[in-house]
Amino acid sequence: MTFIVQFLSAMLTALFIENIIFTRALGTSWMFYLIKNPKELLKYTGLLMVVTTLSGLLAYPLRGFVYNSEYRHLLLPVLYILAMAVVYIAVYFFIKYALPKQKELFGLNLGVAVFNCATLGGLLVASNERLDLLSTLGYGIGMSLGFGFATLLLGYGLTRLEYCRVPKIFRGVPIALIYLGLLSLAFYGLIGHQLPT
Amino acid sequence: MNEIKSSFKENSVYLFSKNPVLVLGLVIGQLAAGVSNLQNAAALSITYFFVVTGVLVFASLVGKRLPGWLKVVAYAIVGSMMLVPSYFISAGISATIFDSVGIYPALLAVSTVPIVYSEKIAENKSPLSALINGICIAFGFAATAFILGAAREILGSGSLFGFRLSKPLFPAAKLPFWGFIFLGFMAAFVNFIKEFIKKPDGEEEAE
Repeated sequence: MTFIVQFLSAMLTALFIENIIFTRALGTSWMFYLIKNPKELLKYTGLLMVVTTLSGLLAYPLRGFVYNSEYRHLLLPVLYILAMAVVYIAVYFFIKYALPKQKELFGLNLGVAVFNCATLGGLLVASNERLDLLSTLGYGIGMSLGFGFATLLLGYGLTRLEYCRVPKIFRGVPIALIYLGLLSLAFYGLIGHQLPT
Repeated sequence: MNEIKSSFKENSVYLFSKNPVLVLGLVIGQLAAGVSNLQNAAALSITYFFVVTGVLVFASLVGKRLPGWLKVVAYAIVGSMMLVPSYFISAGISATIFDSVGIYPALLAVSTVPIVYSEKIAENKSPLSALINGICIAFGFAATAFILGAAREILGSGSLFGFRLSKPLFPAAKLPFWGFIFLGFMAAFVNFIKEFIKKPDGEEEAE
């Protein structure tokens, strides 16, 4: 029972309290691409979940050694990128040989879905917070769901904004960033933070 | 010499009219959450310079010889290796600078330009042309980072590059959501300038 609570606690923390988009601004460039291509969101969220949990699992045995090193800022990213590379190659060949009909579906964005700021950022945050293995897995799943949730929320709002009379110079990237900032501010208040004075 | 001149001319658009952050909407997260003062802006700009130029030059040299599925892995690993020179150069500004920026310099190794655009931009270019391309993209990023860092440090901490100017005017300016809002207004300013330059030609667009 304790394990389940620990797992769920890490997952919900990553999903709401430390949402990857609203609190850490990770993966925003890719999120803007997915907002324009909503059909790919489910596929991408699933891949993000698989890659984050498997990479976290692979790198976990070495994480402790690397974290205690003086050069952890250099070694941790290399460790995680190598773990992500192993997962990427495994997923690529699995799709190629076991699911050949799905190759076209995944092939185009598989590399980008694996190597991005959201995946690496989630893994680095989990290691900086010294989460244990179970919490790291829960955090990875929650982070991926949080990314999907934030993208849906932003996509909905930005679609509505298209019907508004936005001044010309604010159209496109400016209004998307301001809207993202206001939504992050709302989320910041919603989870109980107060602005510094 | 002519190649250098024409490359700089061709890629100078990345400094303003095709600024990677404010116009193309790339590397937003690292700036919004990572750049809350000028020191962080310097650390991220140095890192981005090494990562982007390193990966683009690597892509122009060996990109075409790598199998398609392996390219993204190679670019990510080269990007992470480029953190080494940037770490030691940034340490010259402040020994704890990478501690204060947190995870954000490492994330530049897997940002959009090295991972996605290196294949499109650099593989068909000469190494020199790819290097100039990387320099211009990195300078466009650095210009945005320094303006954002200065504004947030003055408002959020009342200082500039660590030197105290006044008491903090608006401490919340250091939080990530203000990073997004500042960047949004900066992007709108770029659009305004672009419109202002366009208008004398009589290109009034219908609202």
